[in-house]
Amino acid sequence: MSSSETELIRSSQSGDSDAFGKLYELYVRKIYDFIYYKTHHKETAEDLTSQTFFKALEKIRTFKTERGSFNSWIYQIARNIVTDHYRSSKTNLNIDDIWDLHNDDDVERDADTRLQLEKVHSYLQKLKPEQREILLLRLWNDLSFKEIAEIVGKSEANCKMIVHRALGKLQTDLLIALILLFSHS
Amino acid sequence: MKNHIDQIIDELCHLDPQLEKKRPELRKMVAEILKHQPNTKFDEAFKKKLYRQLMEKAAATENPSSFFTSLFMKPLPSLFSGAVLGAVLMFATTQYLPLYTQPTLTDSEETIEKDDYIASYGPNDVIINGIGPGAFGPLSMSVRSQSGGGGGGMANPAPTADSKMMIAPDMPYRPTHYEYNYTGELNLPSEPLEVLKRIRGKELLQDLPSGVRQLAAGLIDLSAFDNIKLNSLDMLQTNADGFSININFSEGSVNIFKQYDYRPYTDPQQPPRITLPSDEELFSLANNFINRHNISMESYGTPEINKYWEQSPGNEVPQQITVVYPLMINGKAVYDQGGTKYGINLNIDLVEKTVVSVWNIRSNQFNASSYPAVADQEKVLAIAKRGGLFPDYYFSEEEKTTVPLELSTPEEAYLNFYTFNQQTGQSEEVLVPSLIFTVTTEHKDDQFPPRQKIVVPLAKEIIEEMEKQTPMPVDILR
Repeated sequence: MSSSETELIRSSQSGDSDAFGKLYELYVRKIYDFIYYKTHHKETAEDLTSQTFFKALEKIRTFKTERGSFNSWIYQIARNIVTDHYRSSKTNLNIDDIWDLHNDDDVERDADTRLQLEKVHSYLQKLKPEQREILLLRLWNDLSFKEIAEIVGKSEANCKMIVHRALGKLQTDLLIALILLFSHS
Repeated sequence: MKNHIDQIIDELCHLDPQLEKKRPELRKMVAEILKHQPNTKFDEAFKKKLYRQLMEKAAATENPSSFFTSLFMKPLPSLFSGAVLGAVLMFATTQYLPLYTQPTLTDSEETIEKDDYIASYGPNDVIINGIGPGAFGPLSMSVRSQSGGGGGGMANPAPTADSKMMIAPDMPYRPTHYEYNYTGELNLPSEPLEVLKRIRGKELLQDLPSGVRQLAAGLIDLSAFDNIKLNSLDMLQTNADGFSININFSEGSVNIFKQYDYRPYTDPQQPPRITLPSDEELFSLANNFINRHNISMESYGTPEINKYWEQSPGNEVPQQITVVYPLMINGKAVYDQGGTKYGINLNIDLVEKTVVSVWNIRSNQFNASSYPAVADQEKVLAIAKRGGLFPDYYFSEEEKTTVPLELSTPEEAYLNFYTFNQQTGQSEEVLVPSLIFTVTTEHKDDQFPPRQKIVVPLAKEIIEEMEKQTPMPVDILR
């Protein structure tokens, strides 16, 4: 966490709305993308992003720098909001995000995203939710393992190991498919 | 993309060196997942909209209900009880409260919730509660120089009749007699005037917080006193440049003064050199203080600098200058009896280049009652001609040197003055629609300068009272 970000957090905690606005500018795109990768639906992602920042604004005074970074704090808020969204709309309490739902489930998805994910969706869906989440946080959200560790509440080494295993599993599924694909192309 | 992929694979190979052998396959796999990364369709319009919503929410959070907000509610329970609503009329100044346009509370709107009402108004928004005609009794004017209500601290009182009386006995010269002339037509009100009386007094006292009772525990049992209320709070910053802050509940006001004890010592025999900053610098100092301390300015207009020293002998610049943010009611400024804008005042010390006091931050809730307006233009012009509220002194004809001065088209405004209620033994703050004339003729007289503003109240009974005033002969003062 940079000193300027720490200063923005302190000012926000003192009621400086402009400082909170600057934090928003720094994080809104990251949080929106993070949520989108878990929802695959623009309107839902916007709604949950809004909820995330309103929650952050409401709770900013409770944030303690000594307990972790602002980055992990706001991602955790977003993560919980996504989970709450799916668990409140579905009776199955084990749903964390849209990856836990079947493609034919009655949930809105953007058509182009559905198409874009067509080739990898089934393979990623076979991963454990934890593996998939950490793998995508590293690949699509471009977060470091250190940042991911803070968000998901695991050690950095553990996160790397989870990705290692995820890729190992994909190797047997996706790689075979890729080889088959490339051999036919 | 390549670097990103290689970096990820490097991290994994570092964890498990065996993966190095599978690097090409891993690269393909990671590349494939990245290739299918969806476009998130991030919308800049959404970003801006959410930002705006967050800032609105933050602003609302910054201004939680204060005691001033709840204080507004206390005298107005009938607003929400329905039956006695009658002719109750409430409105906020549209110019300064654009989101709440002239709300008129009628019987059909009795369902407004109290909390909604509180949320609609800021702590010092102007709120006017209409009551029956002539409800304040006689509008007796006792001419006073003090703005009042703020617990003192007025650094630059406007010149008044009283102050001139003080110097009159030793006047080494013959004072000039001024005549203030207006030659245009006046647009006098055809309807009764809406006179305002500010709501203040014992009913605004606050219940004693439980913790406060314990402060004197052991010395005295505060709970042994019936109906005990909190009248004021005094707080002190102990910094080197600390302020004392006083909240007066019965006055509905907050005043802030820099602590004299904490200010650096200056040798009175070597007065500091004073340089007059530009108006912009003074406004900047005042505005910065207001913004830094979140002082609510919803009902206040463009600030002005009280440049009274320009009229004083020698034009000597004082060490402290007052910036006034005028109270605005129905789009009209409020003046005091000296013709100075009335509102929140900030004193700026020109040596320290800092704000040293703020006074008259207050609640602005009024009762309104109608009174007959003066209809005779000649009466108004006659009062203006002799100097408005403060007529010049009477001179015998042989001593009299008369200087005629021209007046501008008058500004419609409110005059704020204090009157004494003999029944309650309390002073009352009354605002009367008035005309404020500006003297346009330049006339230099360091010893006995003319007035810059002429104040003429438009209430018929005040005009009649003023007509009965007998100017004091100057000879008596000698």
